[in-house]
Amino acid sequence: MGLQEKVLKQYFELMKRPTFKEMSSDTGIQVTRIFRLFNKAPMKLEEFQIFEKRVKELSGMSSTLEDMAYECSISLGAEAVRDLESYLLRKLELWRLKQINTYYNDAKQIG
Amino acid sequence: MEKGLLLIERFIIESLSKKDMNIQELAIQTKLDHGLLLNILPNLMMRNMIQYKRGTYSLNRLEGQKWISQINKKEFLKEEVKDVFQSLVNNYFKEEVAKNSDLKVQKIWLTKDEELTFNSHLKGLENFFKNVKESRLRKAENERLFEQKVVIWGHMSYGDIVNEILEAV
Repeated sequence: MGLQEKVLKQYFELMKRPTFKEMSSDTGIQVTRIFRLFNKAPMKLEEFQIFEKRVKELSGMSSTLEDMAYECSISLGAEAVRDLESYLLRKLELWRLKQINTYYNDAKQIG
Repeated sequence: MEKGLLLIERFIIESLSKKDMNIQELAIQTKLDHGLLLNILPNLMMRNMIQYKRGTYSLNRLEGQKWISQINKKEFLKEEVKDVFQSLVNNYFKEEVAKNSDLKVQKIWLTKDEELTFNSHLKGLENFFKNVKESRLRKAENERLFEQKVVIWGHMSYGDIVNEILEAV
């Protein structure tokens, strides 16, 4: 799954399965364009940034995961860093296993 | 790179340790979606843990010694137990879901005598589980893996818990 699909899926879930119209008024992107993006039209950089920003806002992230990960990697001890790496890796592996099911089921429902 | 199992992978391995199964039987045992099973099973096949023959999945017992000792390494088991704990805690504190789990945490100072009583209760609990397992070997129940209960217990001094937390950063 590419970055575009990831961000759309996260946004869709965090917004609790909104309609195209709701997504349009939330992001300021035209309804027809939203429809196309969900049907895999390539996303422009500024559109990606809008969705990414909303995902961060909706998940209540005050600083980005990337910032926090960097700070942890330079501040925490080796074992604590290994713990975090292992935790993230397991989350990611599980997410990968779930992908083929969930994304396309969601896409079918909104398409 | 050496790696352990995700809990969901162990779930499937444990199902197949009861008997060989096709995908439908595995779905009944685990209550997992077919699509998800079809994502996980090839991974386990590539790691030589399971085999697929004429529509049936089975454990690769020929190479069992090798992969079982690998997945049961201390560092990998630790991660799986953490996942169990986390799932139990998350599920217990979920507000929107009807409670189908229980979690008790007690902080209590015990005298020597009380500690002996406590240890004997723990021993009683362990014996109970041992007896249940033995009775299943004598008379198998028609149980499905997803219906199994997962029970966790343990204890540690409050100070050691705090110290471990402080050391783990």
